[in-house]
Amino acid sequence: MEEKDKILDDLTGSEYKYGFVTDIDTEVIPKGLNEEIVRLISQKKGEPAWMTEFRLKAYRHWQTMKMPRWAHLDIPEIDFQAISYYAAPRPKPKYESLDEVDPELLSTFEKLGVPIEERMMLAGVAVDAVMDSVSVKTTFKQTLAEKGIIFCSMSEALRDYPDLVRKYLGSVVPYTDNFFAALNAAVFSDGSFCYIPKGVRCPMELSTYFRINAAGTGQFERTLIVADEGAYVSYMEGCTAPMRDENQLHAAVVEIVVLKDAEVKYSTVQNWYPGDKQGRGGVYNFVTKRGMCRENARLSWTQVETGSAITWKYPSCILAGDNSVGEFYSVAVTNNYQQADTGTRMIHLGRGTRSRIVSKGISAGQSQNSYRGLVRVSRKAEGARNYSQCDSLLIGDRCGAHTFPYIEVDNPSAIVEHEATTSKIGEDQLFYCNQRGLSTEDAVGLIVNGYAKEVLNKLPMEFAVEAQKLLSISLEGSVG
Amino acid sequence: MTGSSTNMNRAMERSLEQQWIDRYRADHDALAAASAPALNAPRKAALEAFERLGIPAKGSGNGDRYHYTDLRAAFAGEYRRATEAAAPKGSSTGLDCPGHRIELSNGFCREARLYRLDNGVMYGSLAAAAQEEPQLVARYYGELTQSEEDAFSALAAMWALDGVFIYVPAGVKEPLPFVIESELGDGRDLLSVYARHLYIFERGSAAQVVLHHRSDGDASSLSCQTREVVVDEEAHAEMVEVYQLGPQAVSVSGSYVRQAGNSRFESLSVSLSGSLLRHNLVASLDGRGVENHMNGVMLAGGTETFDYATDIRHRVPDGSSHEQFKSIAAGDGTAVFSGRIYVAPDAQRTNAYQQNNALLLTPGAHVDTKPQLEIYADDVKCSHGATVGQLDPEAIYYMRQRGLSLDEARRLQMYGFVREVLDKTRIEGLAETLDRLAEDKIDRL
Repeated sequence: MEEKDKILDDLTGSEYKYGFVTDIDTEVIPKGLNEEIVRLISQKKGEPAWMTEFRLKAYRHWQTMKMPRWAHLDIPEIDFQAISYYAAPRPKPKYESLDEVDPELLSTFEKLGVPIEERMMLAGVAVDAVMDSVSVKTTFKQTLAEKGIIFCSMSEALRDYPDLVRKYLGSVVPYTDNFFAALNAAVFSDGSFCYIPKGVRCPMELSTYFRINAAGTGQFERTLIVADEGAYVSYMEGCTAPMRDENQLHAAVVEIVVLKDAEVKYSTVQNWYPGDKQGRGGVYNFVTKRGMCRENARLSWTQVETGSAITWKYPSCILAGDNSVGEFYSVAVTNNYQQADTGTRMIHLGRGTRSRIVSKGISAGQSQNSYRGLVRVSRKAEGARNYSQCDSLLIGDRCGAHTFPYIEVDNPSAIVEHEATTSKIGEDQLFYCNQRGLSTEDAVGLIVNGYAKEVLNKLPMEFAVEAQKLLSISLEGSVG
Repeated sequence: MTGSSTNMNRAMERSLEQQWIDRYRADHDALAAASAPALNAPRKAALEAFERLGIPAKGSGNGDRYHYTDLRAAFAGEYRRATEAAAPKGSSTGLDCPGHRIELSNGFCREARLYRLDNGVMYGSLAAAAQEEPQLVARYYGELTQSEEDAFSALAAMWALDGVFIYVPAGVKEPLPFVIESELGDGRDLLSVYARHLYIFERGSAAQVVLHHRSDGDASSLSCQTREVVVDEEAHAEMVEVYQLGPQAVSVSGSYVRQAGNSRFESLSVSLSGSLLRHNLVASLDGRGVENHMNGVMLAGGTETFDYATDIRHRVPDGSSHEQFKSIAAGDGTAVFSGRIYVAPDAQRTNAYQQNNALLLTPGAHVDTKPQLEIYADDVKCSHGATVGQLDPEAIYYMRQRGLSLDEARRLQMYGFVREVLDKTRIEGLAETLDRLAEDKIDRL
């Protein structure tokens, strides 16, 4: 008990360090957004003056922008003045014990095989079991520190490595980039910063750790990853377990700088609350993710998107350096009334740049699932090469599957290929499985997993297993 | 961009639309007086649509249809309106294709009359048809375009005084193709031409249409033409269109086809020359068991821009569509393809295929392709493929080994590349003519 108390103290102490006020119950956070609020956020986080200025510039620019409407999404009007932009880091426990939690959620945990303590944490139950992880966290930190790897929250990074942050923040996704990126730059709450020094190969997936780190980073998350020359890191964001989140609007920004000869693998499993079966509620997920690849660099995005009511997300690669490589592997599942408009942008600027896109969309229920991707080959991208494959699978006759590829080529030595198919699960395949004693639901799970395998294989091992289960669960109730 | 210059641009944009609206208002009474009621009927709604839509800017909405090509610049001139056919010239540069000939000059039929064949077929001037067959024309004219929300089909409806009318009654299989020679230009710059065309193929009929668009001289011109094609149940129709316009000719055309059950419609559009050729090809598959083939070839060199936006709408079950477009971009030319396949809810067992292959030959050339699938039914087979690449070096090597020069080998490969599409036409002798025209153009790329 004593030790746990100590850890608790540590935690609350560290929260305070981040600039958050401990007394969240009494703090009145005015809703709405104006320069004062932006200043307030910056001040509460104890940020340097240039950071405050960065936020203000972003805010002013955001005011001149309009919400993008080009996606194949039906986005309800969002009142940006009705949102509280200063989110407390650790919300009050919602439940006293697991018995009070939505049984549907619990059964999902059961199927995913999430450890009991983690279940409680994720469901928002008052729990101290999470503290077990803190020791793990410390061990990891030590290993990373030995290698010179910096991995901390953005707030910590701003305090401890301001020069590094200043050099790279906004260098890949400037605040002028788009409406949501501007909003994020103005009000981002926190996020992660990761720096891998020259020639260092990060010895572990920065995933398990991040899972712990991620809790309560808020709705405007900002991540910056810098892989210095010849470095390597595999980074895992998100969590297979469903996150019940009170924040409807999420606008995150992820920037990745991949310097010469470096390699970054970025994997995401997104399973935010998708709303109920009637399409009420659910998270709006508007994410800007982009990487800048220098000479011979390689950036690989892998995503498994099953959650959120609305997903607007295009992880992209700017292949600026010669012979750099960008990859995008995606599985997007929508069910019930979910809407997803997701894909990638591959911008070929350097010579001999290569990119590969594999997108697998699965729509069920009344959902709408769109792939939207851009492949641009600039005049100087001599010998650029792209291959894209976008497949859509339809389950049920009330859903939609759409493909919107944009291919723009300016170089006569480039080769760009795009292929897309849309179909449903074959009756013959289902029949075959049924004959061998599988229920139709299990058969669909099996077929979908086979269909998505090419992408799932790209995930770090431990998550691939969970992601497979997640796919089956997301499609539950969509057949029969 | 500073605030004041944005405002200034906005003011200029407003004035571009306003210029066209003012021009129309000035012409309105003359147009109304010169036309039959059927042609006058949709003008008011078209004006309202144009006022609402404006001339789309590059990359602006309208379902992304005008994403790549800037048409505002092309519409910025002080255009004058063609009011009659230009005087005919002695030498004919028409297509060598036998059939029922219709000569069009600047949007007007040279012979303002409606021809009637013994089998009930009628063809000729739309203005004459609107006088002689007012009920038939009124029944169909504007029906396919009224809900399209397209600024250019609105412009064509606002100003059109004539165009081509073709009517093939139920059960008639017309053996000879209708050959339309459409000429643009009157020797002076800034001529604007408007026309609306209406083809009606009744139940169980069969017909073929060949259109040849060419310029008379190198003067600048702007052509805005819209065609409505009604393909009734079990009718079979084929349409081949060739654009051979001058270096300062801009053409924005729309083709709106509606197919009823078990009908078959095949189209082939070939863009050989012109400053800016923009085509909207829309096919609405409204009946069961419909078959649609939509094919095209773009050969863009110099500073030419050819832009096809196709839209195939599967509205009911059991339809099939096959689409193939091939483009070659050389010099500083641009080839754009945006294709959409739409499958409505419940349009089950749809089979749709779309393909765009492009060859990009020079550093100044540019290719954009945007194949899209929008699918709301599950029991479907829909796919598309797009490639942008170069000539196959191994094939070139093979030919050179056998004594062909590099240039010959390259050209031969290009001939073969476009031939696959050109040879799809079933109109007698036309494939050879198209091949020859395409080869001429390839030699000049």
